Amino acid sequence: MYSEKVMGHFNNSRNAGGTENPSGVGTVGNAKCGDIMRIYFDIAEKAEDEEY
Amino acid sequence: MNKIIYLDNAATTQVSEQVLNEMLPFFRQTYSNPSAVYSFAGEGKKAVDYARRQAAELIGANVEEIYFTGGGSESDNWALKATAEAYSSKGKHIITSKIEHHAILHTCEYLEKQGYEITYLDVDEEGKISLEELRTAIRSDTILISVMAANNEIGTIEPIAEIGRIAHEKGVLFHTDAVQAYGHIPIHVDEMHIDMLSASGHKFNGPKGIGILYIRKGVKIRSFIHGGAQERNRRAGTSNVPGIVGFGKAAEIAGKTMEARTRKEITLRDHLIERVLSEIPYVRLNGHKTDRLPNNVNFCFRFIEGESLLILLDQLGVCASSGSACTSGSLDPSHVLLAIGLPHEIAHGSLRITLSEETTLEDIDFVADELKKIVERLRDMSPLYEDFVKNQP
Ligand SMILES: Cc1ncc(COP(=O)(O)O)c(C=O)c1O
Repeated sequence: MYSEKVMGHFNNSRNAGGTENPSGVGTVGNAKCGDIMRIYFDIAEKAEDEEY
Repeated sequence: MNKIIYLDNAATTQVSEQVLNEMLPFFRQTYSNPSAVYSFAGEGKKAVDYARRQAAELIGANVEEIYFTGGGSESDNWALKATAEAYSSKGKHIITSKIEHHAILHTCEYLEKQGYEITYLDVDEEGKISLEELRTAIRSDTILISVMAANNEIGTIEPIAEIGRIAHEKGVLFHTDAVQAYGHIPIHVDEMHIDMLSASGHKFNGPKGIGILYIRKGVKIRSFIHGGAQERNRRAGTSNVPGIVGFGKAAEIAGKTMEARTRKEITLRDHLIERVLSEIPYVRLNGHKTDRLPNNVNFCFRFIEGESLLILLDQLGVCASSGSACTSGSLDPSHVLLAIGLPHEIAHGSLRITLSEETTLEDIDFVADELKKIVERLRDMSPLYEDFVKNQP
């Protein structure tokens, strides 16, 4: 039913799980329709005086 | 590949060897059309008559009240649409329940478009309809009550004898979708006041694509499939002789083995329920604890999704099913789980395990052991579980 690639990630999840003191957390999806994902950011160094 | 542990017997069952052996001669040896005149057709005709008797005996019906169809869905469609048409001069109101199979519910939706009015009875948290609500729903223009004998997802057995009594008191016809019940629990059409009953061969070790509609003598529903004069002019189409023979044999065996088989299934069913409820936290049993099909187990595991459970079980060779979203191609969880009052997020974590006569205690213990690990693993990566744990005092 699912592609090998998807099953590969499901069985051997990379980058899964939380992290301590993340710089940011984002949650998308909706438990009501059974799909939910949470992303943790950990940004090591903050660039100062960033210019655009 | 692991050994297959097939625990999806509510979806379909394996044709038993005895049934298959009974069917085989009707493919290549006695393959004639039973409607033909020559004596070569006699064997087929005799076999069909005999199967009709076997099918009738299991539910205390008369032989001439059994009509062979192309399966449970056809029987349900026939019962509802033909009754609606035949009795429309009396009224256009039909009563059913919210937890019927789609073969009933979608037929009801179709009838609504044709100008019929349908009342969908609620069920309680265990999946039973209320007889009080049924009584008050009956009107002078009600022509039919259709309530399933047992639910295909949560296994709850409905009080059909009481429903039949109420229907007959009020002069309303009573149809029951017994696709999951026929051959699994005792049914008697007279004692239970049943006017029409649907059953399907593949749910009790018979072949697929063959079913029956029992129609009580005197009920005036007409043909649904028009054509030849088969099935006493009520269901056209060259008789599916091997299928009919298989249905009959499976019905006979189901009747003979019912007591011992279901006693064994109930022991295993309750063992699995007991183990899962006591060994895994945040689980609920769906359906009635005792008034349930002998082979049905249905849980909701909180914080995880049924579909991921199915995938992980599949990798161990375990076949089960879920009322969760994606499997059905819809984002909503099963209408049955919603009808018993479960919120969407809990209904998504459902798992249905349906046993057979072949299921062993080892199979059940293996599933319980593995489920413990699988549920834990899935909860470990569930944001819902993380939130829940975090918010615990
Ligand atoms: C309760 C119920 N009714 C009807 C059906 C449809 O039967 P069939 O698959 O023979 O058309 C099923 C089986 O899926 C069922 O479980």
